[in-house]
Amino acid sequence: MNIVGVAACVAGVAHTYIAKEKLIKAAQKAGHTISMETQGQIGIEDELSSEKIKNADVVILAVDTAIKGRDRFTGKKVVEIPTEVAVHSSGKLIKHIEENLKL
Amino acid sequence: MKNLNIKKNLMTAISYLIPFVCCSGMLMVVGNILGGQTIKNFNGDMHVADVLFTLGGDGLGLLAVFISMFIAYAIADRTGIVPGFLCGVLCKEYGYGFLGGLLAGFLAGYLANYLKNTIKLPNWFEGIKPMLILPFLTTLIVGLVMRYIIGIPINALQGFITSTLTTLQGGSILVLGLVVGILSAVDYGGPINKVVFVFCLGLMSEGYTTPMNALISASMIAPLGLTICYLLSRIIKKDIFSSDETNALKSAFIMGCCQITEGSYPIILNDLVRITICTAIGAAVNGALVFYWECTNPIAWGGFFTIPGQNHPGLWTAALLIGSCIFAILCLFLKKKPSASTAESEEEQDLNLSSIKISG
Repeated sequence: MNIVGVAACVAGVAHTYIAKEKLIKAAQKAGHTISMETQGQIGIEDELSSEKIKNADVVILAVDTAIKGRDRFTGKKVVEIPTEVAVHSSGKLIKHIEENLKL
Repeated sequence: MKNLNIKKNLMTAISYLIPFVCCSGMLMVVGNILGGQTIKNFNGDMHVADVLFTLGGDGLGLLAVFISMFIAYAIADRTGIVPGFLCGVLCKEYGYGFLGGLLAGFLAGYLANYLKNTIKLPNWFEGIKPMLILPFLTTLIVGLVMRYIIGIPINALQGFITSTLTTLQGGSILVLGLVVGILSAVDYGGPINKVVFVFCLGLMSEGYTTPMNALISASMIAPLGLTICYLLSRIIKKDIFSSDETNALKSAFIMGCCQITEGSYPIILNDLVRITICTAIGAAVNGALVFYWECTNPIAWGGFFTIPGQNHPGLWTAALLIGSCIFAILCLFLKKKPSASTAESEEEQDLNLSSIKISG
């Protein structure tokens, strides 16, 4: 499946990027394509293109704060979790999504 | 209550606030080192150091304004900025402090949102709504409520907290230090740490900086402790770090020196429970020592960069090292070398995923 996601934590220097890495690793291991945007202290990096969002089957928001551009995902299937979940259990999270999405 | 998203909005504001307090604190420290003092007469003679010190101090004095504005912004987006800012100014002027700023921000944000959705105007008049009506009405209502209703108990509460903390002695100081230390460190920069951060920042804006100082060193216990543990393990030739962990440790140490705990995650996650026990004990001792020695400093974040601001740089560093050494020694006994296979399969924590819903 096609996954897009946003990661954003409070300090915006560490959890954000660990969550991104873990999610990318777990998704690729399970054979999905994934693009992650980060909204750290530095601002938005790797911004998701509207095409990627359009083609996505599911949106993963690993966020502890309010994020910019949330309205981009209106009408999409959205999974929202704290960054902690992505950091600790990204593999299980992907599996959980697979089971519940029933594609 | 769930829709109010109190935690997320608070965290958003804190995320804007962190660089603000770092920068202001650092300005104060640089000014302080150069011998600067608060400028009282802006037309008189002043030194560069005075300019820096005063700017930093003014910055920290504006904490209430800043937090109020960004909470309101997190809740109501643009509409929140003006009422959040003005109500924050009111909190600063009447001495409601950081706590008042927090409340004012939430009230302004939610009210601005509510008014935005309820006030309906004819089309030709719609333009005046965001320009005048929303900011004016929100500020008017929240400002008056803060001044004449909520402000009164807040002032009393603040007086109570400050007098309690300044009169704490002996055992109770140590207990407070233990608690602040443990809670700051135990989730490695996660949500618990940030809640303590808000609490400490509130006390800091009242001029009581020891709790924040304990949080700073407690956050550094895990990375520094792991580094010491690694060195010790090399000395006594106890093979408990895998090569991946040794690599991760390098960046963990550097990040740890700047008070970013998260660099230690790759190592901590291999053995979460055992290492967290070490962290809690090390951080508790560290917190108690920082309180006991009454270490203060005006910078709210920055690891070793806070040393120039420390009133007792030696004692603060000693508290940090003692805590880290306790961590290291415990860790040396408790930690096991991750076997190659478990490192590959990456055991994951069992979080309760069933509550995670897919919406849309």
